[in-house]
Amino acid sequence: MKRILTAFLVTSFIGALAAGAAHAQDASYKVVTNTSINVTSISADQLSRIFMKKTTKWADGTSAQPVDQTGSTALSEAFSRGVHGKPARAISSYWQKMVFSGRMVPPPKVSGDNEVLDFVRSKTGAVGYVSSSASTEGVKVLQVNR
Amino acid sequence: MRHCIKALVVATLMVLLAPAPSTAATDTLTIRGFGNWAYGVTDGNHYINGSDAGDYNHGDAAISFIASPVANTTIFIQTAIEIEEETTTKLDFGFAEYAFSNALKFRGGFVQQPFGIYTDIFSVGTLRPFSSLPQGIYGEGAGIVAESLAGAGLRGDFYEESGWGVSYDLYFGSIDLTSGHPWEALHEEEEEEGAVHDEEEEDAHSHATLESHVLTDMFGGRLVVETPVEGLSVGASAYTGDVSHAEHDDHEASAGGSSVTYGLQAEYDNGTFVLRTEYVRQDVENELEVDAAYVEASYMIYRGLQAAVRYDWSDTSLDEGDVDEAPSVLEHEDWGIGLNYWFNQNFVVKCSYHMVTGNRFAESEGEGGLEDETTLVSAGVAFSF
Repeated sequence: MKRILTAFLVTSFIGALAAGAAHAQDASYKVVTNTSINVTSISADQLSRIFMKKTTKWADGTSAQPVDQTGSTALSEAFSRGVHGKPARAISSYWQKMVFSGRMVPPPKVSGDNEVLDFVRSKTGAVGYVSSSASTEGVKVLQVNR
Repeated sequence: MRHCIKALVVATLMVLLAPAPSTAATDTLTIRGFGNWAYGVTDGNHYINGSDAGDYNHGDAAISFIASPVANTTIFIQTAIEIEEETTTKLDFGFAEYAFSNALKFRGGFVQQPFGIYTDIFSVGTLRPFSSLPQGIYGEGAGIVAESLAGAGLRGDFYEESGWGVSYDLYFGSIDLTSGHPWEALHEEEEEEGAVHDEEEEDAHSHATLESHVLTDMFGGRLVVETPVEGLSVGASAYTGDVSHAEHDDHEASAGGSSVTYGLQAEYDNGTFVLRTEYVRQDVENELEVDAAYVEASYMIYRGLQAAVRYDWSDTSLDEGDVDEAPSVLEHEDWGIGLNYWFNQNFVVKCSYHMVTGNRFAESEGEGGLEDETTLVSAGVAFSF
């Protein structure tokens, strides 16, 4: 019993220490699409559905191809909270459930702004997000309405 | 203990050496995996992963392969290693699915049994706040749901702009169920009173209550409705089939009656606060009826620190026989509290404390009478990628 109580206290202590660590800085982002997309603005809810594959087509019938990125934890967290209205951890849990139940796989993940832009430029119907300072040459910027 | 450490090392290597999800593989192959391990100690009875002496040997790990070799076709294979009293490897699932559309998909093979909230993700510890599932419905001895079924079915999803969504599953096939019948061990003890047992027989006797039976010609379904309230969904599940008992102990294989099981579920998940509840009723013809339910809540207190609480209940009634001398073998009530720390969405440390009343799932470990109250303390980890 003493061992388990110790484990309990150690767990709490580790949690408190780690929780005090620097929180990811908020980062601003912008949403970019392939130039084939005839949409200039979209609601956060609609964009969330595309990234969660609940909607697979744009309004004009083009297949939507979302792409995620692993380049910046802060950027992913900002996008997740801004578009999905949830922390990135919750979205990750959603995809774990989809994957392990054999229902769906998440959007592909690439490793940074440049790879997101390459993906979006090259695929019809593609949509991704990059840091607000990234170049948008060859892609369109989508206005997200909250 | 050695098996446990080995599994933990293997699992850690899996996580560290695994390719980045989804893109290190090609667009047609996704490789994921998960693992769990927990230590459990009780104040007497054996319950879930805990025993009087403390038990380190409870863990598992699995690898899932999801391939899309051609358009509209998905292949899903999941293999697992389980470590308890023995180490076993098994095929959790192996099925193929063809998508006519999002609203209509056909799958066949060894598929998950779509029932309730947790069957799709039975062993994925990073998708629940406690190391163990609610025993009344999902416990190994409950005999209510199976991790997989051999058969085929249809499923689909509909999502509206308004926020409403519907997911459905229809299936047929057969499932293997394991149920604990502690009341049978009770009667066996009465029959053998006075007999001399050697040590091996004693040990087998105290854990002799798990019985396998197969449900054949079964069909069932599940309907889940997502509401416009973000994170809130409700649903219902049901299945029926014919029972066939496997040979065990001194009992020969035999055919049973029909079995009908149905349940209701509700879930709210806003990413910080999660509330889940289910109720299930099972009626096995000429054998028993079971009512089971649970309510489980968890809350992210601060950063990765999570608090959890769960009430789990089950009540069994027998069509024949009585257990007047020990009614606790038909009863189960588990109050659990937990404290977890999530390093990230892929790795969590869990600790929990359970106060259990009843012996439906809490078994005595030896002589000395049936203790109808059990305390379990459990600590462990869960990980996934």
